[in-house]
Amino acid sequence: MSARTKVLLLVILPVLVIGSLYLRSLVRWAFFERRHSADTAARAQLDQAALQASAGPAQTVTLYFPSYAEGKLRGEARPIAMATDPADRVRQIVLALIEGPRQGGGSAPAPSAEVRGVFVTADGTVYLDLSSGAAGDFNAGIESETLAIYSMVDSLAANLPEVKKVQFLIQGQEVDTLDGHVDLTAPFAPDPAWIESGTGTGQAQPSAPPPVEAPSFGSSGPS
Amino acid sequence: VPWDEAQRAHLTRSRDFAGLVAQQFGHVQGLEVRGPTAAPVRQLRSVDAPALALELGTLAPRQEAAALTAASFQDQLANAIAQAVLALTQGAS
Repeated sequence: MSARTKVLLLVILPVLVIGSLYLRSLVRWAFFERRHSADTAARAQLDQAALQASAGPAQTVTLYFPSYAEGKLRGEARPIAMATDPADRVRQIVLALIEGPRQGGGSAPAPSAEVRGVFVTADGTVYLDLSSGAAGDFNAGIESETLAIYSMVDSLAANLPEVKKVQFLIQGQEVDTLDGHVDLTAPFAPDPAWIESGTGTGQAQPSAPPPVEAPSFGSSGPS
Repeated sequence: VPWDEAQRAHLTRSRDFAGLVAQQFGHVQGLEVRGPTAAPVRQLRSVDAPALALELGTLAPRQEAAALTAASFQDQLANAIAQAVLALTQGAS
C-alpha cells in the first residue's frame, strides 16, 4: 500500500465513521425523538385543556393517597374547579394524584406518570391510558402496587359518581400487571376496604363483581 | 374453568390458609404482622389450590435486609409457614 493510499484511508475512514454516526442520530431524531416530543406536547396541551375547562367555582374533592406505613389509603381534601366533560374530570383527578399529596403520604401513581388518554363509556367504565412511567418510582411489591391502583380507582369513584369501573392501559396497551404483581387484565371496581377508616367520603362502593382476589399476606417486616 | 379463574374455587381455603399463617406469624418474635387482605395478584389467579402471597418486607439495605437475611429469622418464618400448611391440611382431612 502506497503512502498516498494510506493518507487517503486515514482521511476517509474518520469521515465515514463521523458521517455514519451523524446519520444515525439524524434518523433517531427524525423518527423517534421528534415524534415523542410531539406526543408529549399534545398530552401536555390536553392536560392543560382539562385543567382550564372548569365549569365554575372550585369544589372539594377527596383524593386517596397511599399510606405505606399502614398499608391503607388516606383521604386528602383538595379544592378543584372541575371540568364539565367526564373524561376531563377523570384527567383532573388523576393529574392531582400524580402531583402527589400535600399532607404527607406516598404518591400514586408515580410522579413521572403521564395521562396519555381517557375514555369514558356509557356503562361507566373508564379506560385510563397511562405512560410507562406509571409502572415505576414506587416501592416494588404487591401492597404498594395495589395501593397505587386503588388510589386512582377509589379517588375517581368517590368524586365522580358516573365512574363504575376503571380499566388501566399502559402506553395504549392492555398489560398483565402494573409492575409484576397486580392483575390489570380486568377493570377494577372501587374497593372502600383499602381506605383508612375515618378518612373516606362514603361514596366509593363496589359496583361490579370483584376479580378473583386470593389473599395477599402483608407484614411490615421484622421490627 | 378458564385458567385465570382457577383460584376462584379455592378462595375460602385460601383465606383460611392466610388466617393460619397470620396466627403462626404471631408467634415469631420481632415480626409485626399486618394481617391478610385480598389483593388481585396476577400470579395467584391461575393457581388451582389454596394459595397466598407473602410480602415479608423489603431487602433495601437500610430497611429490613439485615433481619430478613438472618438464617435464624428465616428458620422461624419457614417453620411458621410449615406449621400453617400442616394445620390447613390436617383441618381438611
